[in-house]
Amino acid sequence: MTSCATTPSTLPFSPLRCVSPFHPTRFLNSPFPRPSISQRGFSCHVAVSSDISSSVTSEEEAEAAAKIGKKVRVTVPLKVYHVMKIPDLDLCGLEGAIKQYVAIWKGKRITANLPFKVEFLIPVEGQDKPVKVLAHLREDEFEYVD
Amino acid sequence: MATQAAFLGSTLLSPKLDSSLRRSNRLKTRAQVDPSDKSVEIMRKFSEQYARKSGTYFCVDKGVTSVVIKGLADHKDSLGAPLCPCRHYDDKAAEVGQGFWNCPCVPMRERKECHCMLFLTPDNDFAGQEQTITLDEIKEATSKL
Repeated sequence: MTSCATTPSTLPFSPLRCVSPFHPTRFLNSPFPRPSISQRGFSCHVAVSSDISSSVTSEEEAEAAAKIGKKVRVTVPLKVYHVMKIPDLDLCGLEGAIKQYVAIWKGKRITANLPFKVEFLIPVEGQDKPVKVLAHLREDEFEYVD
Repeated sequence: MATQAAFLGSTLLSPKLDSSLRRSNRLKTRAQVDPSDKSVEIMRKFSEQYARKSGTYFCVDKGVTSVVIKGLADHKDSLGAPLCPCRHYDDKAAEVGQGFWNCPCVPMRERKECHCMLFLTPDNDFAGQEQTITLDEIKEATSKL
């Protein structure tokens, strides 16, 4: 949102800018002598805020919040390599829960292309406790489980 | 007549004025300042180390690797973090804060997918045999840009 208020400065009348009322160019020129750009006073009020396009609506935030905690199952072959205890892990068929929607961060839109952070608990041989795995998924890589 | 004289006048003055104008225009049209040597060196070392750690290789065309490393260094200088240089962002500061695209980005960390072609898995058609790149190679490849 911007608002500009021009404050014309007072200048001596310039004879060169005097236009006869009968001259056809009177329609092109302003009836008042216009000061040069450097002599004009300007005050502009500009709203300084972050880019509007990256702000998220409350609807989008609510939609994202509603998905958190939902149980999901991975429907595509998906290898991840970031789990220390399981070097080459295929998540296909595994079930987990959505932990976070990362494409919205502090009310701003993030261009993450894997926005769903899902937590899996995977049993490992030789360990009582299952290994907690966090992986980022796209919407078309999983289905909701009842 | 008056306009002709004015034109001639400007051409008489032009050689000195023109060259100084050209010089200042050249400076003004540089849209981007080069990243600092220190940042390029940091990102070069990071790239070598991460390629080794992840078992990935640089592209057969080291020019690709060089441009990406320079892009990472540039973002590190301007934003404080090496945001992926191969993507467009609406709000770079927010992206840096959230961290998805901070190199190594989430797709690379989790799936070994680097669309910049900086880190390539051995099965990739464009993967070379090397996990190293020198500062000279980077400077040479990016000087032609």
